[in-house]
Amino acid sequence: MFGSKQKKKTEWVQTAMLRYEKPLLQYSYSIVRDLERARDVVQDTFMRLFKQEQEAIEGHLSQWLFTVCRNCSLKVLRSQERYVHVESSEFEGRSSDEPSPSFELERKERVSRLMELVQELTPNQREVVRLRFQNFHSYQEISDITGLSVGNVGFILNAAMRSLRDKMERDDREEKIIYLTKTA
Amino acid sequence: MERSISDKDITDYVLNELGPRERLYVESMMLGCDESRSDVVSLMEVSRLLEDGLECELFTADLQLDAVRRGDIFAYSPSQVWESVWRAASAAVALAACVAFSIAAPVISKVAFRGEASKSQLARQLGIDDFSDVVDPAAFPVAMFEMDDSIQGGAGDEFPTHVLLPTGAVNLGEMPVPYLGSDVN
Repeated sequence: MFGSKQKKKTEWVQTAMLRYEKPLLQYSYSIVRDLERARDVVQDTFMRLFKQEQEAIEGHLSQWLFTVCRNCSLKVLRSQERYVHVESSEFEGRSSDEPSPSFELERKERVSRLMELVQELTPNQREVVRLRFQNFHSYQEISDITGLSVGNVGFILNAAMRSLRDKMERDDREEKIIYLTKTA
Repeated sequence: MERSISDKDITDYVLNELGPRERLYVESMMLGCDESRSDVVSLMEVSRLLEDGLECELFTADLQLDAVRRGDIFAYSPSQVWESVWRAASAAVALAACVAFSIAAPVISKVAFRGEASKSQLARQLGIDDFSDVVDPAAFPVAMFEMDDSIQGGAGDEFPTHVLLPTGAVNLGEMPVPYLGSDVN
């Protein structure tokens, strides 16, 4: 009886790891800014998952994982009281072997530029943006994970998205000016 | 006064976080407003770029647990199952011990049933069936008198034959008569 229950639980955790290992690592990394510590946090998160009953978490596994991961990351951060500088090369996207049309190249450049601008957001904004656009959590789920009110989550996302858009538009205008100046 | 839509309303609309009624309202307000519509278009573009960019981050090669940590997670599990089993068994054993102690301990049983034994003794002495209101016979304050129907008094009085004291029933005939003075006949 215990053997089959154990096997079922192991399979459940393995499935969760396949789905959430990378997003949790990325999320934790964005908080602790150290890959090894992020790995420790995610390991701790999945070990805690083993202690839980599957039925108790079913239906809100993602929220549970991200909440525990966040709490563990903040605990590490508090004990460290420092940030580790991140090399931008660690965030290089997957390279394509196929030749890219100019439109696709331009889009990739815009994506790359946007990701640099994301690093300039406040920690709160970065966290909420990541939970929304990388892990597709709703306002309510983000509120449950971070402890912020639903209204506050909306406010932070609104401010973050408009800030990113305004900066990109400003960069576009400056590029045009530079281009026009060179060709003149 | 008609409420106009705010920047946050537009962002909530783009992120599909509005309820059906609110969504309808925002769409109706945007019909006549080019600025709001271009706002929506630009925020949708930012949303798509963010999704693409953050998805790319997940493909970073180093972003996974190493084999040692992965092994530790799955090696952690068996002890947790047995720990819960032992915990449940310990609780059951402790409960059984408490029940057994409460039944078998003579001190507890004597304290629990002392009143009943005393009540039955008094009830036998007096021939009374219902003595349920007496909690502690040792604290019984009033002496009860048992009447003897065979004694005939001068005016049809009935004289008690026994008085019940806390220490037990006492025959009145055997009690010393108090001296009441030479004037009493």
